[in-house]
Order: sequence, then structure tokens, then C-alpha cells
Amino acid sequence: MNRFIAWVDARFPLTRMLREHLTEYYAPKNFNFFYFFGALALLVLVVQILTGIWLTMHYKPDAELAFGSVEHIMRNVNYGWLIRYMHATGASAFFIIVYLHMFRGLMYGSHRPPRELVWIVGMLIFLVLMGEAFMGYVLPWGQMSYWGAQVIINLFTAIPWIGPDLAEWIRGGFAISDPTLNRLFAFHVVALPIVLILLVGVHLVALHEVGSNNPDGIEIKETKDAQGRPADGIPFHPYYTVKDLFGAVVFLFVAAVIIFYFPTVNGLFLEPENFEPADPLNTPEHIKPVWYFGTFYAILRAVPHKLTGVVLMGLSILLLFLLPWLDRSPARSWRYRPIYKQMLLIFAVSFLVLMYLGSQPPTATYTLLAQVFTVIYFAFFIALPFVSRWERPRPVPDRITGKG
Amino acid sequence: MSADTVDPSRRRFLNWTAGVVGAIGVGYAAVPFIRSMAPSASVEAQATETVDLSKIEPGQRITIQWQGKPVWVIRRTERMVESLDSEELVAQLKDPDSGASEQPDFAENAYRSRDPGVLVMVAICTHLGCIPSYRPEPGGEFWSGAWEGGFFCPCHGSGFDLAGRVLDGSPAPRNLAVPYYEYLSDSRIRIGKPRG
Amino acid sequence: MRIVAAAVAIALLGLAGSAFAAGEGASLRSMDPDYSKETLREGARSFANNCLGCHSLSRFRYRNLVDDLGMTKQEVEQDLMKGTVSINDHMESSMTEEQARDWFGAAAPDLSLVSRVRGPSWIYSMLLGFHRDSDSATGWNNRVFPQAAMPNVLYNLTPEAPGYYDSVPPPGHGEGSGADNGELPEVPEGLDAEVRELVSFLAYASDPSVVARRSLGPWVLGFLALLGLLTYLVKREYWRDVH
Repeated sequence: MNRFIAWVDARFPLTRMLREHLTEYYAPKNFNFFYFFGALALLVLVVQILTGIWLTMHYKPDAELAFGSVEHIMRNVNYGWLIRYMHATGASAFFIIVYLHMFRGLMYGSHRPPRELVWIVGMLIFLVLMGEAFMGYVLPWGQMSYWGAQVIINLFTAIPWIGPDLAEWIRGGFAISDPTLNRLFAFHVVALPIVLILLVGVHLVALHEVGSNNPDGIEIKETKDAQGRPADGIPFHPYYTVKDLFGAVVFLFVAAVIIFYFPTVNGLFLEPENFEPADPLNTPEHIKPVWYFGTFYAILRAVPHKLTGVVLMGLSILLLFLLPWLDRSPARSWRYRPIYKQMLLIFAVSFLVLMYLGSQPPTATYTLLAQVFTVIYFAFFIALPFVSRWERPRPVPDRITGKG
Repeated sequence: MSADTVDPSRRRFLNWTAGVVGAIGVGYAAVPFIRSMAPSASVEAQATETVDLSKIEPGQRITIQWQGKPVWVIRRTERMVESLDSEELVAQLKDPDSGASEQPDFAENAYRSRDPGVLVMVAICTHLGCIPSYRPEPGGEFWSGAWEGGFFCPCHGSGFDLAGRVLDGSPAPRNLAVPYYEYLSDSRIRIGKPRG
Repeated sequence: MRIVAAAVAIALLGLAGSAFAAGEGASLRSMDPDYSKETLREGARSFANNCLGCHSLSRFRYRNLVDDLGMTKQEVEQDLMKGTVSINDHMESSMTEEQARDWFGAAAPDLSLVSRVRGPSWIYSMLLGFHRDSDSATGWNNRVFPQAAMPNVLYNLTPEAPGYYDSVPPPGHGEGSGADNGELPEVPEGLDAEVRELVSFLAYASDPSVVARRSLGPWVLGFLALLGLLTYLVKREYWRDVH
């Protein structure tokens, strides 16, 4: 065995990679609950790819057959229901995990220098994930699939001059139709997953180059022990591998409760309207995106002007990319920045309220509320450069404080 | 790192237990994925095919598709049935008792059928898989000996009698296969065994 | 941190609750399907007797009644399959679309996914929502589904049916049915039971995996709980090293 590994090592840096990324990758020892979500996102990615491959064995990307083939999976294919429910639950779980993972970054300043690239690549992953989720939602070809695709692709018509032609090019037809479904399928199962896997690889390599942040937002590399290792660091393997394994099993338990007992989560993960086949001649009474797009959809709807709405929705995502530079505080973690903490919490609340409003019919009250919270959402980005400069952080310790 | 709290045997035990239980879990998790690739209920619903015999004239052959394969159903005339008993013909057969051939027990006889008047047969040559042609009338230039009626495979020149038994001088090794079938009524047969 | 967790939880709960928009406006009687095999078998029989004349379950196979609900093949063939050929076939009505248009003025919708789309409470309320209407072609109208082309198929179980009180003691007080004062009319017990079985069956037929899910679920959860305990012990064992 040792000779075999030596043989491989002479040709491929196997042992070196294991050392650099696992056994001698030193992670701060004070990771708390919020640090499970990176590993969980990786787990869900693997589950989505596996269940996705198995679903394509039975799914038919054809406007005539798509809806029936999904029901075929649910009813005729052995354990098809399990694979499909896993994939559907996995999609929503992915967003819960990714939102918490991103929020963790903002709490403890994990996006701040020198980890800007980790954050940027992570944001790219988030963008690709949104595309992946949108396209996947179209595939069952139910009413929500169809009209969701209609609304999202029509966003492109807001672009001056080329908009309508661009939308037609994206659809490959005069309306959402068979060619549209076929190409969204191609992107969903081939193109975007490849991009996603590559980006996740880059995200991890970039992270391991600079090292993990921690709830105190300090650099563990600055204090070394007698052997020259970070004094507050522990090897990722075995300490965090066993911890993340436990976290993964807890996650799987929760996912299994959903899959086996509440697979549609009361119309939240799988919407009732989407069990009606796509009908180009009939719009459902209330079109809404799946819950995880609610925030951005609410911002879009809050603006009574088409192009401005689309631009603001785009900005609400793009501004997140700039956070490493908008935040100019000398401290990273919100633990030492009480005002930033309040700001971030208000931002999170506005994010959640907008998410809720995005799923509601646009009544006058709701639209007004959405406008108010859209302003709060953007106020965070506008205020951040000034407040972070002005706020004097509490003294930041040299060593991690040990509390989780 | 204080060694006093670490008990290596306890650690090893826990690692093994969790590892074995985890491996069992992975094994069970693979089951749905493997099973999902087996024929689905809609495929199994096509495991059988029903044929109405009253619509077939005596001497006529119809071809149906059963489990994706061509299957013949032939109403044999009395002359055809009698020809199968001729000693001259039996002497030319490679496997007259069908001992080496593929058929349900009920068809392991000279007529290779439940009822001599009806022949049900998979129309795939046992040589290399071509579909033989139906040559029910005696005589013909294509066969070296005397042709008593039967099936002739144009691909590589195999000959079969009207019970699908392979004739000497054919490259085909065995008789044509007979699928499982049963009578639902006097005039209706169901080919294949229903699943589920 | 706790505040955030609570906010997230509340927001998710709010979303879950709001996602179920009541829809049509008429207030619904709420009903949860009963997925016991006994009820589902009764519901399947009731469906074949009362509904299958007009409505198909074109995505549902008879075979599921054997595989999922433990009915015997003979039972299904004799009691439920009327004129269909194989147990592998879907539950299709023999009424054609043309006949439906001639007789009722509209095609009878396929009910394979009705419970997914409308929800059990809607079907339950709809089946109990019939009232007399001399203006409509069938003589019936529906509180939940106005102008429905469907007549009250379960009429024989309502107190209006001739001979109803031969088998059921008459109520001691009140008029009950027909009064449209906003309150929902009282439902006779026999009718209620029949409709509950039917709706449960339709809910099951919309997603037959519910039977497999409920029988497999406890094993999966039990296993994950065990594995969770073991991985926790391993984690705790290793983390003894960390001070």
C-alpha cells in the first residue's frame, strides 16, 4: 500500500493535497453552528448531481411529454418518487444553506480582505445556483413552470432597443415553447452543473490559500505555537471532518422528515399550481416565484417602472459583490461592531420580509410595504461605507475568545 | 493535547461502529437508485400482449410486437399440422424433440404449441437474429432438399419447418423460440407472463 | 444570534402558512385525508361506484390498489374493473368526451392530480356543497364550485333523498340544509364518512407514494437517529483533544 501511494505521489500530489487541504489545513477551533453550512452545501451539491443524473434517465425534455414524464417518475419508476422528492427538497435546502452561509460571512466579516476572492467566487456560485434553480423549476412544465419562465424571460424585454429580440432569441420561439424547454434542460443538466463544480473548486482553493475566518474575525496565523502551527488552529481532519459528518447526519434527518412526511411543505417547495400541466392560454390567478426568489421578485415588483425595476433587482444582487470594499471597518466580526450588528440584522429582516412579500399578491398595502423594505435593503449598502468608517470597534482580542 | 483523557481503544471502537453503520446507510441509500433503473410499472404493463385468434384466417400469419420482439401467430391448417408428423421431415431435423431449444414445457412437443392448430413463435432466427420469411407452401428453389413449407431465413439460409424446428443443413443451431402464452378464452390468447 | 434564528423561523413559518391561498372565496370545510389502508380501500370502491362513470384517474393504475393497499387481484377485478382489460391499466372512465359534452355540457375533468392542485379540503367542501337550483341544467348548483356541470352524485345519502329517514333517525331540531345564512349546513354522518373516504382516496391517488413514504419513513428516521448518535459520540471523542 505504501509503495503504491509512493508510486502515485511521484506522479500526482496526492499526499501533499491531502495534507494541504485536510490533515494540515489548520482551521480556527471556535467554529460555531453557522460553520456547518459550507460542508452542507457541498453535500447538497453532491446529492443534487446524483439525483439529477437519475432523474434524467426518465425525464423527457419535450413540451408534449415533460409533465407526463415527471408523473411517470412519481408513479411508475421504482423509487422515482424518492429521487424526485430528494431533488426538489434539495433545491430548497440548497438555498436555505447558501443564505445562512452568506449571512455567516457577513456576520463575521469573512468577505473582508484578504478573502475578497473567496466572497466573489461564492457570489458567482450563488448566481449560477439561481440560474440552475430557475431552469430546473421550468422542467416539470406545470403552470408555474410555464408562467414563471414567461415572467423571468420577459425581464429581458426591459432592455432598451434589443430587449424584445433578445427575449425571442432566448426563447427560441414566439412564446415559451418546446425549444425553450429543450435549451433550459441542456443548461440545467450539462452547462451550469459543470460551471458550478468548477466554481466550487475555485472557492475551496481560494479559501485554503488564505485560511478560514472565525467568529472573532481575527487571523489565527498571527499567533503560532512552538511547532510553528497556528496556536488557535486545529487540523481540519479529523476534528472538523467528524464534526461536519455529525452536522450532515442532522441535516439528513431534517431533510428525511420533509421528504417522507411533508414533501411539498404545504406548497412551499412544490407549488400546487405546478401539478397542472402548462397551458399557454391560461395564466394562473397569482404567479409567484418559488420562495427563495421572493426577495428579488418583491424588489422588482415594488418599482412601478419596468426598466427601473429590473435594474434595481439586478443591483440588489450585484451590490452584494461589492461588500468587501463597501465595508471599511478595521474590525471584521460583528462581535466588536455593535452598530454594524444592528445594521446587518435590519438588513436581514428586510431580506426576509421582502421574501415573504414576494410570495404574496401585490395588493396596495403589500406594494407599499415592499417599497419601504426595498429602501431599507438598499440603505444598508449606501450607509455601510460611512458607518463602517465612523464606528469605533470595541477592542479586538489577539487570540480567539473560545465562546462559540 | 493531554493524553490522559484519550483512550485509543475507545476511539477505535467508536470509529469502527460509526463507520460500519455509515457504510450500511450508504448501501441502503444506493438501493433506490439501482432499483429505479429496473423496468418501471409502465414497462411491466407491456409485459403481455393479447391476440384475438378469431381474426386470423386458417393458414394466415400475423406478426405482433411483444416485449419489443416480433412474434408470429399462425393458424395452422390441417394439412400443415399433418406435415409435421411426416417421418421424412422428422429425419431432417436437428432437434426434433426440442430438447436443446427454448420453449415453455407445454410446447416441448412436435407441434411446439398448446394446441396444434395455433403456433405462437418468436420470429428471430437462432443463428444471428434476422427475421425469417414465411414460406407455407411446399416446393421452391431456395432450399436444397424438398421444402414441405416453413420458414426460411434469407440472411444466412437457415430453414425451419412449420413448427419452427430447424432443418439439417442450416447454420442455425436451435429451433425458433416459443414464448409463454395462455388462453384467456377459446379465441383470445395472452402472450407473456403478467408481472406484478 | 438567537434573534436571527427566531426571525428566520418566524419568516419561514409565515411563508409556509401564506403559501396556501384559500383561492375561490367560499369558505372551506377543512379536512385532512386519512391514509389508513382500510379507508383508502373503501374510498377506491366508492370512487369506482360513484365517480368512475364520468371521471378518469388516467395516471393511476389498478395495480396500485393491489401493491399499495393490499387488495387482492380478484377483488379489484370483480368489484372495480368494469370492462377494462388488465390490472396494469389506468383507471379510465368509459364515458367519452363527446358523451360528456352531450350529457353535461362539459368534459368531466381527469382527477389524477385534483388533490394536488385543489387540496383535500376543497374537494371535501365541494362534494358537500351541492344545493338545488332549478335554473341549472342538472337541477343542482354548488356553493364551492358555482355553475359546476356536475350533479350531486351522492344525493342518496342526503336527507332530501326519498326513504332517507327510513334508515336514519330524523334530527330533533332545526332545519339545517338549504339555509344560506353564512353558516355551513350540517352534514349527515353517512354522507360525511363516504365523502371522507372518497377524498382520502383522491389524495392518495394524486401521490400514491404516500403509502410507501409512511411505511419507509420511520426506518429511515430511526437509522439516521442512530447514525447521528454515533457520529456525535465520535465527534465528542475527538474533540476531547481540543482545549
